[in-house]
Amino acid sequence: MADVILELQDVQKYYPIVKGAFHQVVGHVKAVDGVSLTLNRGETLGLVGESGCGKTTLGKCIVGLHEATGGKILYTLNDEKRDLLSMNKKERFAMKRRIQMVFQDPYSSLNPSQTILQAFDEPMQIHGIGKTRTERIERIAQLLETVQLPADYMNRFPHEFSGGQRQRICIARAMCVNPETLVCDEPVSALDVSIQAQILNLMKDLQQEKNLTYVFIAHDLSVVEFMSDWVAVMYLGRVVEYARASELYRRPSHPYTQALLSAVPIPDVDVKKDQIILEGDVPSPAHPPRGCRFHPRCWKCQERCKCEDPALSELKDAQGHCVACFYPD
Amino acid sequence: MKDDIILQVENLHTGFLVDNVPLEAVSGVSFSLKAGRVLGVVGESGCGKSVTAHSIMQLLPKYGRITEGSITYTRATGEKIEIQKLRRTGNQMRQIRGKEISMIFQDPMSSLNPVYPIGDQIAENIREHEKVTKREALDRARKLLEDLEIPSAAERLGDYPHQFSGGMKQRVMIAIAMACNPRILIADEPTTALDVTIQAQIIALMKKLQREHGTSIMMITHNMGLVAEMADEIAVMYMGRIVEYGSIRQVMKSPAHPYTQGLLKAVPVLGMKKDRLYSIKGSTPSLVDRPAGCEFASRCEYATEACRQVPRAVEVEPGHQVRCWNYKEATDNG
Ligand SMILES: Nc1ncnc2c1ncn2[C@@H]1O[C@H](COP(=O)(O)OP(=O)(O)O)[C@@H](O)[C@H]1O
Ligand SMILES: Nc1ncnc2c1ncn2[C@@H]1O[C@H](COP(=O)(O)OP(=O)(O)O)[C@@H](O)[C@H]1O
Ligand SMILES: [Mg+2]
Ligand SMILES: [Mg+2]
Repeated sequence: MADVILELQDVQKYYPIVKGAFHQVVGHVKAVDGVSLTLNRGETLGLVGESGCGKTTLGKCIVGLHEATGGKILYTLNDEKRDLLSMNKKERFAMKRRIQMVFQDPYSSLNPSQTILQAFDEPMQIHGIGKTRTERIERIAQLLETVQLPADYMNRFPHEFSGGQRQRICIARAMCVNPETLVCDEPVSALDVSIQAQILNLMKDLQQEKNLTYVFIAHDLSVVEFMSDWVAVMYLGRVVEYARASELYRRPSHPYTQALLSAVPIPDVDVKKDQIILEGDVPSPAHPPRGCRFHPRCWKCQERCKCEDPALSELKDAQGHCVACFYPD
Repeated sequence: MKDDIILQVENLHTGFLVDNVPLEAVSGVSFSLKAGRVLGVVGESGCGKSVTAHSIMQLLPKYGRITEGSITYTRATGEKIEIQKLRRTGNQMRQIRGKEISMIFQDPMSSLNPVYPIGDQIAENIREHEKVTKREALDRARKLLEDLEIPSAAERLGDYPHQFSGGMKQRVMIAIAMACNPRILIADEPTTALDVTIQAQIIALMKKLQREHGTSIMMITHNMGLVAEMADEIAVMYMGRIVEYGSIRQVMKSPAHPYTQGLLKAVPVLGMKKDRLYSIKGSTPSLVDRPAGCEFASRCEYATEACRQVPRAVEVEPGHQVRCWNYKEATDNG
């Protein structure tokens, strides 16, 4: 039996669009609009999709940096599923220890005026990790070693480190409260490939060692394939396809997934793919198209797609492979 | 005409004076761009790709200069011009820049003027180089936007940059760069800031333009997949030097430099799931304390005593060069 740690049910996050002197709400950006997914303990769920499709927003809703405006975020605590959205403040705060976030930009996510020690000590104190300062320092030293940095770096300031080193520090800091789940938002997108490989390997090792659960957000499909057990492809606030990574990459069924995969350039001169070139841009999430949200860019669009919104449903005999399309392949 | 060299860079050294300390960003780069071909220039950030491009365009900041070497551009008439000898703002450089050699930058926002309609910006660039009326120039701007598949191009001429999406802005940049039908296009990470589906659109457009006009392209990128798709030749840079050069097939199929090999192994490749990625140890040293000898030695699996000396470029096979003392071992094991 799979050990489900996180279950999203119809999660929504609408940002109000305000105008005028009285801050009238004139509409909503439907950044996340009805996302349902499950994630097993110790596994990685990859979230892919083009910029603006709602990946960061969904990630922030999971860690509680944003309050979802609808749906349920069920998290398994002592074998009991609890909805994060209906928890009281104190309970919700305590959840921060279990679910941590790592951000894309390792430059802006560390306070430049704090040493690494200070940056780590604060969350540890808040969550009551390590009784004495000595205990905490010892733990920080261990954490830095886990991410392959010398322990004495804890007395330094962020500006003394390269991008790759900072991302290691950010990962170590997220680990310092001993979380079960890490939401990683484009953790390697700002890094060069040789450094990216180091960080991705490190993240895999950490996961094995500590049985961590990852929500891994990225726009690079090859990176997501490398990291993930399951992948959800998002488009305009929705999940359009969800499957085991191996299955999704072998048998993409949604036209958007197919286009996305076909657009990735392959570093091999002998691989010549038929690229599907999508027309136009992603529409605004304030005014998503009627019917299937992808229909204005879809080459398989039929009359039905223009007025009916396809639900995410499981393909026949496909072991959890779900697609939101009336005419999947 | 096929193998005619249109741009020849020889032993280019470019440096900056930062707080009175000279810093060499490009250290002896040589390559040639053949007419009608695409040269891919790859390497990680800071290796000198943009500085090389800016040297060719004479777009270096005041405190930056070409200290050695030559950049020879062959005009349509056959006349050879040594770009490094021209004054940055002189007449001849202004004639070449933007007309015969033009450039697309990574960040379209930094090169579009936010307060002018884009039609005017394209037209202005045409009028700077050619004697045409504003009307004619605007008409050509519209045609260019149409060629670049921008919907309702005529109406969009009056729009301002902020009214365009990232992908559309990059198309406008290409329109400006292509406005005078340049013979050489330098594209500096033209799609790095864009999503893959938009990247695919832009690359398809660039290929189409290149086919139709026979433009020679220098394509700067850190994406090995993109070069594989676009380039005929490839130059791999590390710390201001070209460490490997050859046809795209030679370099991608039988990379000879340990750094090239590492780069190719370090990227996850779609559809070829591995458990671990190869990783090049350490990180690129800073230019301020550039190592003596081979700059890659401290990160290299094949480093030996010999690597205390800067390696010369040697020929692996015709047209395929590498700067590495131990490339034979690297090729056998890599
Ligand atoms: N704080 C916010 N207020 C209003 N709109 C927002 C806010 N954050 C994100 N958005 C909008 O929500 C949509 C989804 O954004 P985001 O979650 O950042 O996407 P992604 O991470 O996939 O690029 C975008 O259209 C974005 O402009
Ligand atoms: N205007 C500048 N002033 C000082 N140093 C610079 C300047 N531009 C680039 N450099 C330095 O030159 C080196 C090469 O930079 P660049 O060519 O921009 O690299 P990239 O390969 O990423 O395009 C880097 O170390 C960079 O810091
Ligand atoms: Mg994001
Ligand atoms: Mg650059």
